[in-house]
Amino acid sequence: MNPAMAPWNDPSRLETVLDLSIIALLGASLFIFFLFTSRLVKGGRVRRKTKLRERFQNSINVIVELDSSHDAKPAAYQFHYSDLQKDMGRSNLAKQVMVDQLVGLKRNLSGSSANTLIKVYLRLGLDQFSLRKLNSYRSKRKAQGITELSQMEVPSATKRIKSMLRSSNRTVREEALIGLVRLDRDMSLDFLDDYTSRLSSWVVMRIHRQLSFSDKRHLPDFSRWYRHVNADVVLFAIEMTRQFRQINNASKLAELFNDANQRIATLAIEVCGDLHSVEVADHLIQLVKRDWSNDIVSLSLVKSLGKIAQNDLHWQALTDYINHPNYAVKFEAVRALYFSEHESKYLQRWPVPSTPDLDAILRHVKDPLLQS
Amino acid sequence: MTAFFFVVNALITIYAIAIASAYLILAILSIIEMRGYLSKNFFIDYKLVLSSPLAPGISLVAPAYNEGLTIIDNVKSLLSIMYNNFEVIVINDGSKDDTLAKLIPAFDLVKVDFDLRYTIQTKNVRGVYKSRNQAFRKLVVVDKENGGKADALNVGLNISKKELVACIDVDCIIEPDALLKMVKPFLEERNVIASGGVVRIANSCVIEDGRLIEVKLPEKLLPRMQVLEYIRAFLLGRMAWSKLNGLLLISGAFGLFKRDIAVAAGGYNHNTVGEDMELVVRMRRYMHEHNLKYKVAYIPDPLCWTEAPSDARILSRQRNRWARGTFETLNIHRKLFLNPRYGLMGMLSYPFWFFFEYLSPFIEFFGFVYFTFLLVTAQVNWPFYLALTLAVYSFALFMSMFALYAEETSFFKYTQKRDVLKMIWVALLEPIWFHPRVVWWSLKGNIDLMKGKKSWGEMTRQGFVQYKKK
Amino acid sequence: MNILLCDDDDVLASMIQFKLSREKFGDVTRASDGKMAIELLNQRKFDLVITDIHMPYHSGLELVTHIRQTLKQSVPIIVLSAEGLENTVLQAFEIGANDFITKPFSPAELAIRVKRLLQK
Repeated sequence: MNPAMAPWNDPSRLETVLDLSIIALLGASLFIFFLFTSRLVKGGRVRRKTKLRERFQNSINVIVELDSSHDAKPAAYQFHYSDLQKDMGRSNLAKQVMVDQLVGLKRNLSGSSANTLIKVYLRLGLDQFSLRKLNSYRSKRKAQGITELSQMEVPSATKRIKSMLRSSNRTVREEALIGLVRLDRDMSLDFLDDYTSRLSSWVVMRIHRQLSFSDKRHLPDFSRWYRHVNADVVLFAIEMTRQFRQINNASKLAELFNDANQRIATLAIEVCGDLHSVEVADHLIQLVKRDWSNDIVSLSLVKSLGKIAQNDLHWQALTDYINHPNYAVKFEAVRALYFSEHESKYLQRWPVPSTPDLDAILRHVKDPLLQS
Repeated sequence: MTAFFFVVNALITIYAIAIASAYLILAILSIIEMRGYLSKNFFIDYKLVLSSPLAPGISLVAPAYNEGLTIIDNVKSLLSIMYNNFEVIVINDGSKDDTLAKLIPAFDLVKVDFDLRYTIQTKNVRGVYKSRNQAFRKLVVVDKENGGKADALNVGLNISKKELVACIDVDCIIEPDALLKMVKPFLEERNVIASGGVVRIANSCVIEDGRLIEVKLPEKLLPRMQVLEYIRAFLLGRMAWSKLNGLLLISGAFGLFKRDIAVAAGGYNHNTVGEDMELVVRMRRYMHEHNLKYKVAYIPDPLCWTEAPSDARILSRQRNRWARGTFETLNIHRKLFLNPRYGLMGMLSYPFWFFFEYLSPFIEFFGFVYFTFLLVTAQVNWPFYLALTLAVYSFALFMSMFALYAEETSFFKYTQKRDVLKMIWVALLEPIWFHPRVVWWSLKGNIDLMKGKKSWGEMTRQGFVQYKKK
Repeated sequence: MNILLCDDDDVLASMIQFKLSREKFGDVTRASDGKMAIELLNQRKFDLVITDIHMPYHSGLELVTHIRQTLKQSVPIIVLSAEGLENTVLQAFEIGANDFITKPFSPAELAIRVKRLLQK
């Protein structure tokens, strides 16, 4: 045997290797054990939850139906409340099932039925249950509490939730933001005034959805935030201007065309086009030459101009865009010109002979099955 | 001679400890990341994305080659995916069978005057088709000369006018809410350039009309082994890399990319059989070289179900191809190796892939031969040899059980009680019956590479049709 | 009267079923996913169908198409969905739905619309 191999035949090394093996095997066995127990526990929990849900469902259905029908006397369904109280008992699991059921239903219902669900939630003292979650050190529970309180429109929770806008945990911050939008009865969205954190597209989508449930006439004037220090809030405000068609803000949007932040500038340009704000067309013309070499801005400009071009000057600018080096810009220009009433006048000014690629674009634009 | 033994022993020991520690660390990081993901997504109503006009547009690109048997079902299932602003681009890559002939009448397709720009150079496109039926207005079918999967995907990139492009295998069953989940990272952070999903094994699952009805554990042993492998790789590996933002590989079966970055980086490379991994690496390089912050995200939710080879011959070809693909990608991008310019990708991801993914079959094989040689020449005694074998086996078993536990506490797809026992049995067998063959096939892949083999090899299409519920 | 209700939300479906039976509209059969819905539709005729859009296996819009084009039935269909995108609403009417209610909705309103369609 080679001397270098001696340590490998040493019993202590053998012992080490065996020890490692045993540890690994023990670990594997532990996982198997956890696997089985987790399955049993999970199964049990699911069964209990299903039973509770079924027990609660009938009482909830009766209460909602009778309470919102107005012609039933409260006494008729009083005992359903006590039934629910009894079934819930002191069990946190039962309380959570009940809250989940109420919140789930409330998401789908509006009007008097929704109000009844809130009544049930409050009468069973579940607001206290949700409020306690706000004190939890676990962010998931905190966020859950915020969701429940805001879905069930508990106004007294507003202050607590507002303080969570500065939470270090992203989920909590986002739920707090959405929660405040839900709880904001007068739709002022005041809390945005000094909001300095990120507003991801995801959160913007959620806020938009929440706002779309309310009466459009009560929405705030989004131009209020066009000069916010937080670029995310500015972008949000411009996007909401588009979604809720606040066409009166066109001139204020025009002021953003020169914003140092390119994303803000291009969004403002696009939104003016989508809102058919013809009054800003002249502003846009001024940018055409200046931003000619910037493909991104040029694309926004050509799209917008295509929607709001009014006079010869505007149409001339669009015709100029046919010669832009960027394909997407060319394409949009051709499309806008083709669909305008002035097609014949301006399309005749194309370079002669018409280049194959412009012809190809025109054929594409004309094809009825390729209309987006 | 002494020096030789000493050095080799030391190197093998270091390698073994390094790879074991690396896998353990990755596993732990993965679990932490998984918990975070599950807890964060507890609050998500994905249907919100569905009904929002703010959701980004997605082009679903599906190359098809000789898929005549199942193409109609597959396309129908793609069209029924839950998303609003999306289009399905099916690329007929010069199929020799009736793929196109079947599609045209089934979807009432006509040729359109699509102005195709060859932004990325591809083989010739013979025609672009759209449906006259409003119900199929999201469908675009492209007929082109055969050029391989990468070439077909590039045509998709050229045609798409949406912000995001999802590249999928047409015979993959995509879960209805897959796009909703895959798009979320792009919505949460501005600098995400790609997101990848988990691929699960569809063998023996009940599929009807191109939809997954019931998840079942594969009946045959070989696919079951692959189930275990996939769970280990996806749940204990990729999640960690995603957390570190060092993810190099997004499965070719399902990935979502920012279109303009993919195009700017040059599209798919058709000179490698590992084109999915290679594109991700190249996109990351592009971002580094332009000093742009970025992230590659990973969704652990099972979003995509695919048929795994149930036959050793076909599986061996697949592993052969994977080995060649890994080498080709690592070779093309060898500039990254320990290059601080490329951040974590160069300093950690690339070396990891090279040493622990690419080299491991070589070292395992060499290690086995070496120690057996030592045993036979009485340089080590039997007890030690056996103890070493036991140690390796135990570690493998430990990782497999860890993976099964992770699966149980996360997505819990195999719900039959017997499935747990079946998978434990698979975990016990795998290091003996399956893994050595995988190592051998990888080695053979590298040998073939040196001999100059380039192709994908024939992957026989069995189709999902056989698994209809009785 | 036989009403088919297709929705994967158990709690909501239970409430709708309760409401409709209290209004004495008849029997309400529940399908919790698209596959079950199509099976039930193939087996018997209904006097009214209420369906969500996003369900497992087959969407509500596919269901509407199946009823109008494959089964060629003119049974009144109400689409009840959280999705209120203009395109979707238009598409639903184009393929043959009689009514479209977006969630969140009022059960009382649903009941009135059901009554109106059943009376026709």
